[in-house]
Amino acid sequence: MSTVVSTSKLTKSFGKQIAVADVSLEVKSGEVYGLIGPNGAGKTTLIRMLCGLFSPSAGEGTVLGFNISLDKARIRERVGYMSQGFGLYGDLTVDENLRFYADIYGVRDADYIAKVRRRLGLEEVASHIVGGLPTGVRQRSALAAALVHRPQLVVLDEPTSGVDPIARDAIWQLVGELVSEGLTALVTTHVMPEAQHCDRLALLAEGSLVAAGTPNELIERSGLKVACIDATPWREAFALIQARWPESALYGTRIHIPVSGHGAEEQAIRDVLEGLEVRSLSWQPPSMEDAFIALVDAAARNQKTF
Amino acid sequence: MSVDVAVEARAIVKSFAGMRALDTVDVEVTKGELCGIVGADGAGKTTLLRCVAGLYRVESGSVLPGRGRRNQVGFCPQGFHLYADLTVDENLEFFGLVYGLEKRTLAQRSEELLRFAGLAEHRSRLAGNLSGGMQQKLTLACSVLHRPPILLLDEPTTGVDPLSRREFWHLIEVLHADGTTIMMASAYFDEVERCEHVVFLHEGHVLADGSVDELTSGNNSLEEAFRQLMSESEAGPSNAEVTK
Repeated sequence: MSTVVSTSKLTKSFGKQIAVADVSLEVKSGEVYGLIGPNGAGKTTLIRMLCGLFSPSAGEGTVLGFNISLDKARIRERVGYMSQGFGLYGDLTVDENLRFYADIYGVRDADYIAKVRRRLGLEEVASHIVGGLPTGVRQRSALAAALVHRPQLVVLDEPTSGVDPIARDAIWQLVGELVSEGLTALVTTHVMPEAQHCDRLALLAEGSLVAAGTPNELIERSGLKVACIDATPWREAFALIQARWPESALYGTRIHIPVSGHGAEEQAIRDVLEGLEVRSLSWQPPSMEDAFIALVDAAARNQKTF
Repeated sequence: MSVDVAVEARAIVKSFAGMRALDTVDVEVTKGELCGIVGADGAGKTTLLRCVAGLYRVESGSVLPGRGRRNQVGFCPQGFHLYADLTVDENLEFFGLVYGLEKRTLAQRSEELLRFAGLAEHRSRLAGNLSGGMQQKLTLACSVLHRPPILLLDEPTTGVDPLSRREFWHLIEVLHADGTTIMMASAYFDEVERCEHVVFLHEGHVLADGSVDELTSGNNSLEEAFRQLMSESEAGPSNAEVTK
């Protein structure tokens, strides 16, 4: 498998503010690669360097074999970028938007544009004004606009934000199909269950790469397990558990506690709930979100020790 | 209405430009319950919340609390609806005055909520300069200034990062544990799974209504149950409604 994106100690500062610090990662051809991290982690800045929109302050990188500092124009010709909540003209139709983007990239092949439109299921809405379409359809139109110039890599910044569950599913399915046809996708998301659609993930926090690997590897690396407790009365039980484990959360009337490490946690939980009826206490693997929070917390603690 | 019921919609109908956004919808939420509403774009989630909040007049059917009961309801609309050019403190003061709180009560309640939402150190910042997660927490604080027994949230965590989302959920849990009745529209199944009571809406109809356990029987997850009901309803007239 060839390498589509490769960075080595890539860094970007704005004045004294370091937005991306020493990030080294590799994206292989035919992958869906996810970038995750809290707001301000540097995801969008990293993406913009890879798309040839920002110059790095230090370090280096290549996209499709081209140097991101020297060959920006060639990279832009070969990369489709769908930015977050921006990109299409709300007062133009879907077709007008696609033709506009095709013109920018010098694409004259009307058949190919029609093919993209068909591929993304936009034929019925081709003459609709974009501003009046549901979010899911708008996002699919934006994805079409990012594909009209036959890019080899698509970069999607939060493609499913504000999109309903069914339309979201359609977008991920489409990304999967495009990738199986030879495209490579780099995707950012805040929605952790969706991050699990990615083949591999990079977790960024405060500009640095905190962890990289498959979703399951990140979940394992968090070293967490989750206690799932059904106790009654549940409000009282939750207050007691929260006082001891502030990271606990309610799921309906059940309580989840993400616990790291081993040992007599179960006994500790039963001790805290003494006097209440514990109907059940079982262990579950952590969710992607549990893992995300544990890894970001661990990175913040490590930073403080230096 | 039974004393244990906080929200009651009976056969409500609401149309816009001849299109029925809600078509004979029945929903009942018990006092102190956390109720999640899930559905595709245009399913009627926002319209339902707005009818319950009394912001829309229903064409037929009845809804409680509904109109004229502003003090019973806190409403967090979707997106950012605060005054971007006012500070955190000024936004709280403005909404407090709208709810008719007295100056002293308002000052006390604002302090309480600033601590509750973790915004005390940001009180002098302009709301427009806060991060998305903080804006959502401030919106929540503004909507519960008057201690409403019912809180309505319209997709409160869209576009919010996982850490801020967890902080926001912590606030919801505190309000829930205190006995506030909460009705929340969400596009995320992992959030809806935290609710005691779930309503699936589809094209203005209630597709299913019940606890997570009731809705997932025979399925692996709430999401799968939802998708299955959606495809059944697309395939033909539905008799798949699960009743509580």
